[in-house]
Amino acid sequence: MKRFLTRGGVIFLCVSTAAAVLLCVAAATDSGTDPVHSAFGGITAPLRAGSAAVGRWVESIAARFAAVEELQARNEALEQKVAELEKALRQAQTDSEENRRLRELLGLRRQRRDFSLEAAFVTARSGSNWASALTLDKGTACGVAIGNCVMDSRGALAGVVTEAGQTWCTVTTVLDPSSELGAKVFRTGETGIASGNLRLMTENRLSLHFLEGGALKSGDLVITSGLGGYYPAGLLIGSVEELRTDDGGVEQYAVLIPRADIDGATELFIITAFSVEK
Amino acid sequence: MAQGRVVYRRLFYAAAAPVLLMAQDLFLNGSTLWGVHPMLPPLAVATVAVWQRRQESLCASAAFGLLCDLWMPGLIPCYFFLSFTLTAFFIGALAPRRTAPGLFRVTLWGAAALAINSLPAVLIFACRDRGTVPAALVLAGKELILSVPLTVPVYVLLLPIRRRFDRGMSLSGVSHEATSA
Repeated sequence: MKRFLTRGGVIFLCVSTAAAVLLCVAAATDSGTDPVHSAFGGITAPLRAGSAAVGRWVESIAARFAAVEELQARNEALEQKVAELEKALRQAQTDSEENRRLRELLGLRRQRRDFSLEAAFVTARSGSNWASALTLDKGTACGVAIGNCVMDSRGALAGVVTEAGQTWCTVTTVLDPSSELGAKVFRTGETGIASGNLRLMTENRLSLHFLEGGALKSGDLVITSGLGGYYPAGLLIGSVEELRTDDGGVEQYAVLIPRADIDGATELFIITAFSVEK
Repeated sequence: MAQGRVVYRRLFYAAAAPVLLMAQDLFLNGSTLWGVHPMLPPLAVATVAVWQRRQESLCASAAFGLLCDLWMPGLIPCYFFLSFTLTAFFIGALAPRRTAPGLFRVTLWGAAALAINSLPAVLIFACRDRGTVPAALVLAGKELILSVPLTVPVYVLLLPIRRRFDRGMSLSGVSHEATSA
């Protein structure tokens, strides 16, 4: 023990403790990203990007050897889906034209929704099993800010930026237990809170609470409500899988399947700015 | 001579730390089973804690925990610093020091390290909402079951460092070369 005290071991332990306390204080007092974490993230960002690029290259090689039969089956299913979507598109075009004529008739202004998007690659996934987060390779230098929504290529909400450095940002996904978003059921207009849940996170699901009443069906789409103006409205969160009652037997909530493929996502889009005109 | 060995040993352990974190990032974070992925860092902490002296393993665990907090933040800002220091403290206090543990004992202490590492998370979730405690315990159990087999590669990675630089050193820190001289 004497040797430990005299040989600087306790100094090293004190320095480590001081650094840890500094991290805690910085995280508690600063609403943004603490400078130490930001600096370390900036240093490691190129390493993460490099290792993620190597990982993607290896995955692309492995994917070439995937089962041919499985690809053929998927191809057939996708061709059928394309045909159905083309049919729906033709109907939508007809409806859109009718909508335009009716708006002109009633003198209504066209509702516009503009997003400023920043494409970013996923460079790291959550290291802890107790949270669901992704690290992307874009940061404040590209206009990314804490609170920005992140979506995938299909327009489905993946999460919200909770930390941002110069060249990186951390996205807390919709599955994380701390995630909470204003949501609306597309079919019924019913509003609620879509939140992550520790038990459901391991099943790749999230929950929808504070339902006002009414019948939800399996497959009902749930979108962001946009109430408060913090997040854009209309971003697809997921679809209803089933209705459950909580452990107290009082409150009913819906289990949602997230539409964004969070585990398999490699490229996401950060909504750095949005405007909605009605 | 002994001091040189100590310095080189610490350098090599320090070099192994980012290798483990990169392996965790590249291979394990995306490999989930039952919605959970295996965790390497607590196993490395346990391995070093049973092989090295108490004071040295405490410092190493604190430093590694700080590195993990910066690389992959946990539930709270100093999560890994706290949990790894706690792990090293308990293993240092409870693990027998007379003989150098082999793979089996390292695996047992690795399982203990995983349990201790999950404890702060369970407590945090219990404070937020008591109803999540059963789910938290299930998640901790899944993480333990999936991670324990990875003690083997961690042991294989760190064993050469121990054999090369701890040869002739007892766990009390006394060099056998010095006592036999």
